[in-house]
Amino acid sequence: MSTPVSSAGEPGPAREPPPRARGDRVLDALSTLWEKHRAVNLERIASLEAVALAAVEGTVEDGARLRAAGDAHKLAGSLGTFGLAEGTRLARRIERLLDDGCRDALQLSEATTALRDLLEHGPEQATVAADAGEEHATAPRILLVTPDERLAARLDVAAVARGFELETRETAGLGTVGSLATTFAAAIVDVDQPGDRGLDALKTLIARDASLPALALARDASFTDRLRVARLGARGFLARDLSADVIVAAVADVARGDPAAGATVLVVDDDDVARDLVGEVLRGDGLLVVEVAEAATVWQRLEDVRPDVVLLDVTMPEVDGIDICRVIRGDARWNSIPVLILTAHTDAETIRAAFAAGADDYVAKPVVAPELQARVRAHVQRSQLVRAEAGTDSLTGLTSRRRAEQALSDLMRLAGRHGQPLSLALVDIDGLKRINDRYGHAAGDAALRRVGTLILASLRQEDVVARWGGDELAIGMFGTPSGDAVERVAELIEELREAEHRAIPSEAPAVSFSAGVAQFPDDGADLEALLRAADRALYAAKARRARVVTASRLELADDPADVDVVVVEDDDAVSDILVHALDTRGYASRRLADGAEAAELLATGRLRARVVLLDIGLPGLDGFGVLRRLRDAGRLDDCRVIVLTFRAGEAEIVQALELGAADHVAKPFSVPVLMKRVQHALQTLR
Amino acid sequence: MSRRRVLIVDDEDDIREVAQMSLELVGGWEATTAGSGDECVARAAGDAPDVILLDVMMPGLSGPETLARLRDGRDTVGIPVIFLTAKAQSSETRLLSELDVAGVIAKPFDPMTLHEDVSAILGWSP
Repeated sequence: MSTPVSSAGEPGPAREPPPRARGDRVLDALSTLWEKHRAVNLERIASLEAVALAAVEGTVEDGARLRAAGDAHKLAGSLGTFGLAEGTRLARRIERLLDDGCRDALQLSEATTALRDLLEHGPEQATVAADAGEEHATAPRILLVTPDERLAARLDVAAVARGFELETRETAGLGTVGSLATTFAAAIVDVDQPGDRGLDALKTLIARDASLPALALARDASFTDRLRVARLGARGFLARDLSADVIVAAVADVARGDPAAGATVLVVDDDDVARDLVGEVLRGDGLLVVEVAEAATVWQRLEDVRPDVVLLDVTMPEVDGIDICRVIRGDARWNSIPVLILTAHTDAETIRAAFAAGADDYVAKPVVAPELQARVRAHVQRSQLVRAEAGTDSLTGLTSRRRAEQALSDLMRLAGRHGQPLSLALVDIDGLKRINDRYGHAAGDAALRRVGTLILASLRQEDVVARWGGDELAIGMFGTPSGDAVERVAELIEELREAEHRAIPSEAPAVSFSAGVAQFPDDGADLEALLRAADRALYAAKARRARVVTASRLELADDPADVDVVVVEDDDAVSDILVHALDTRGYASRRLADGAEAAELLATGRLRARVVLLDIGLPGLDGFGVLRRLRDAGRLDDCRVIVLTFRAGEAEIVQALELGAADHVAKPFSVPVLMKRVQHALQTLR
Repeated sequence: MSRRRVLIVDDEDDIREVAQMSLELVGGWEATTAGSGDECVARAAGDAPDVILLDVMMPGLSGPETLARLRDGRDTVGIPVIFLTAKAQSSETRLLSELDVAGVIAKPFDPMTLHEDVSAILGWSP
């Protein structure tokens, strides 16, 4: 038997609002009850906090975790009733994180702190009861319209990781969807379908319920397509080749409904009183405000804050707002940021000058609060939609840090759930400051862009590549253990080295980078710990000859008699290449040119190596002779020999393998292929 | 028509009191409460309320277990029961609604409209 299911979230059929006086009495009673039971709720929060702390330290016991999940469940069920819909949302999230085994300790602790803050401020901040009505009783759902099952599967994983439920329909089935906006938080429509079927689906959807925010997904994001989609009333346009997580994150932003919440506004005005007033008005509207009094510091603050909107006063000493606006527009990093001019002079000439300098809008002084708020909000929304489309860093075109942190946390959760490794590489551009100082910021920016483009072109769809800070990039590699990650990053370093050699005209400085790699969960169980480990490895790489180092191999024995790899090769050109490649990957290595010397050192144990790269044609004693000595001395159990043979030397290969060589690579060899064999050999020994 | 009589069952004091306050103040009904499944079974037989609002997750007898006891009792077999649940998954809510209940109300509920939700499920005129 199926029975009606009701939730406070669904608007009932035309309810009469309760009489005002009775409503007030209910509010009074609610507030009394809230105070009466507050201690219990705070105790529950304390239990959550204790578990969150233990999770961060990695010492959670299952019993405590389950009790805390129960507490979170109770808070989720009651806070909304007291008008704290946000409290219910947070508590549900905490419950999910606890059920998930506390794998994401960082998120758990953040959510717990947020819940504590919310409770300590109490419901006087919330509009009692009314908010509870907006709370979805189930996980918010996203409607996906596409016939592409692979797309659906890809998005499904990302959606669940973000706490959404994804419901997929083919275009043809759209007619059967019930009331839209009450069922779904947002919709994604795949418009890459034969003919105009995709656009028709979008049109139908928006015609049925314009209040449901819809985003279009398409391969080709040409201007005409964007325009068509925008005219149909879609809220945004997403490129199909974005990672699933970025797509879901953009949808989540739109679904959240208030695109301006948490946006940052940079207010530049030398007049303290006026600046404070503007700041106050905007903060009152839920925006973050950063105030700048001196025009000279605008650049630094732009860099630090990366605001969503800039407000510039026209009349300032030294440089006026219109000049600053012009310079902002001339800088590739900032030319798409909305700029609003604050001016007491609304004469035609000033306004014309402001627009000519590239301003998006102006606000008349003295400011009128609702007008200022409305204008800033409109521009925040535009700015955020532009960002949501890609979540990209404007200089490099890579994912922005904020988005990447979220993406990495989600990948870590997925990795935890599926028992997959996840490697994080922190990449630091070598000497970027020197390039900036010597050749100017344009050259530094260009260098950063070249690195970004190269990394982006070489990595896989499921990787996260982000601009992490000034001269740092981050690469998240799902399903990749740190050994493989080091290899991949080293290949990028080598590719970049070659590209810079080939293509760089003399005036531009060649760029290189170093990297530190850490593996989840081995080197860090949460994002913060993983970043610390990667950062330590990066520091080690910078300090040594290595260009990429993994966190698990920081303590490198500085013993020349005990190394990772010995190269026995009499051709200096070849051994130069090999040693350089080994250095790049952080392997300790030693080179020998004479076969007899190598055999003596290795057979007697005076030189210990885990891998030997052995040439065949050697002075003193040939490669077969060396191999024979090592075998007879019983050294081949804890040492892998890779023989470097010539092409077509099949007899050589057979003989080497019979003598106990672990592997062989034909000359001329590809460095990445040989290094993969080295890595494999080292792994089989560990 | 005599006043509607409701029995609210929840192990959490605050929820019980808010629901009682809401149904009495907003709905004008007569609301009594029970803090556990056992207490519910005992009270329901004597009070014979018009409807029971029953929390799902309780220590001791759970909501579904309490429901089974009510259905086994000669005096309580016919009393309509509505589950209160904070389960976030719609699939779980669906499973609950498959049991012999009149409906399911999600927690957190809105105290301004709780009586309307109950009336809507039972087909009572407001």
